[in-house]
Amino acid sequence: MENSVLTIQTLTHFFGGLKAVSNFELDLPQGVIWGIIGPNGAGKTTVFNLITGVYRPSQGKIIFLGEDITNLKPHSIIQKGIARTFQNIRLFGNVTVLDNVRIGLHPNYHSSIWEAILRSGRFRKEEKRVRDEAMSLLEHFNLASRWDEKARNLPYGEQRRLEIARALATKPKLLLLDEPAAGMNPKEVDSLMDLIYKIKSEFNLTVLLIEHQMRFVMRICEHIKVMDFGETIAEGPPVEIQNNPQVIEAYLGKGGIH
Amino acid sequence: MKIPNFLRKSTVQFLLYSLAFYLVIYFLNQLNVLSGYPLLIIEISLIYVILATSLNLINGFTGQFSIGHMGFAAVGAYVSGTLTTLIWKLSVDQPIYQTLPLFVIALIVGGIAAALIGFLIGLPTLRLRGDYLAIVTLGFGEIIRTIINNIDYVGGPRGLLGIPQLSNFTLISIFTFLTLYVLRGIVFSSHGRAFISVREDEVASELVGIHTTKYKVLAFTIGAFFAGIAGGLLCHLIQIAHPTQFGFLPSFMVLVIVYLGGMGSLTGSVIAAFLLTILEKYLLPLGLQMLSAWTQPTFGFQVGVEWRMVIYALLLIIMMLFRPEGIMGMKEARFMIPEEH
Repeated sequence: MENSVLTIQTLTHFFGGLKAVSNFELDLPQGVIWGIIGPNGAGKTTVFNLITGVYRPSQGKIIFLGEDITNLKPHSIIQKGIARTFQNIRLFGNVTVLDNVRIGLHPNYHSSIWEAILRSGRFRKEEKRVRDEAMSLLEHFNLASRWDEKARNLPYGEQRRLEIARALATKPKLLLLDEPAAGMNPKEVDSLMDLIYKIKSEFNLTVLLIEHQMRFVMRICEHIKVMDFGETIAEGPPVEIQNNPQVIEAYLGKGGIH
Repeated sequence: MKIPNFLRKSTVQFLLYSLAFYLVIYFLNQLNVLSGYPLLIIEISLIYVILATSLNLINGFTGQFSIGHMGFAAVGAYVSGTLTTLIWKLSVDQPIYQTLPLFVIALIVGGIAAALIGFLIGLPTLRLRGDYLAIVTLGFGEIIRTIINNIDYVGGPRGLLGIPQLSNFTLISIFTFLTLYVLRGIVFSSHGRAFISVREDEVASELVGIHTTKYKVLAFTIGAFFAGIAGGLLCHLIQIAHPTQFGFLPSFMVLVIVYLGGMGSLTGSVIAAFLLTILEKYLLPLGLQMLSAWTQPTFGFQVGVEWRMVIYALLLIIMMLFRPEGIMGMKEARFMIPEEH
């Protein structure tokens, strides 16, 4: 596709003898919100781990903005413009909310360690820039008043938001969200949805997300891929997916349709 | 009284406190209050400050479990000692303007040699974590010791003898303050936060774009450099470099200082270095002597100095039970935190 952000071809990954992901294909256009759903163990998070370089794929190709990123190290992939959050929140718990975001800004930081020791003019200017940028990101996420709090002391919903803020600090073009609504009540899910729309347009993002909560996925995603046992069993717009007998079977088992 | 604004700057405070500390000890020494053994204890404490803060960068800030820190100090000690004693044949009778520059060069060469070794040790840490890494660093310390034991040129198991006493309180103070200044500059910068992110969650750190490999190796390299300097200062103070000085037990002492002071607190390492050195070199021998004076006539046995290891272990256990985060936790004194901009 012409304007595709991420293209994945015949992506396959084995854990020992287990085929965790099999022939996964994706052509993600610029500026969309797409979702991957599927029962537990379907291989959704593995796909994210393959895209971000945590695992090396056994087979297949991942192309991001026209560049092959298949065998790059995670930090290089992130620096190219992909950011992600985690299913089980992975913040830097013992450091402050502000520092969590500032760490996300580090890859775009250019002063050397020598300049840090000597506190050069450029270093001080850059530290100020990093701090200001981090604070303005926190303001976006309504976390600015919490900047001095240790990340692990935040309530759950705020931790989720902080994780997204930290991901955005790396200045991504593509944002991968791994179960962003997990453990949230309906009201929180609604505000999360607003937040995703908001950041998508403000930061000019393309979003790919994994989710379990059907209500959420069906409402936010323009296009859904359904995985089961590593295979892609269906794909299409939400309405189609909702009524696809194969999908219902994967979730509810045979005889789920009456 | 209004305090002038520039005195509120933490860097100014850091310099003033350092200077004040130096002058107080210097004059107490001039007045013969602190001469001899007490001054030596303070000098050794300062060297332990360098050792502990540099280990803290590896263990406390970057979260790598290294327990062979004295191995790096051994490299620094033997390299600088070889230069001053065997190659340049310096002696304290020579005028200071001849010996001092050479000695400083020797120290820095020793530091660089240690840093190179630290870099090499840092490489396997890319694969190893936790206890596996600990065993590698422990083994490395022992390898260094064994190699030194077998090099006849530097005295083998007899140690390197006759090292000129080129270290003095002024020089040790300067190097200690420099170490603290450099480390606090690194720790409180974006680079410092990168080190800390590796400790907090290596996977997440890599996935916000931090080159974790680079920072782990860097921590070992910087930590080893300062340990090498400390080793050089130490052997030029006590005039001998001996393999046993750099074995597991001294490494263990540095580790205890880091944990006692608080992982990830430079201030804590400074406090604990003084506390433990004074305890070990002064209070404990005194206490055990007094205890012996009582047990000897009463029960007929002596409580020897080797009992200090028992006290160490007890101290560690008590601390882990009641204050596992150490004296300072992760906090720093204000003058140890530079202004942000």
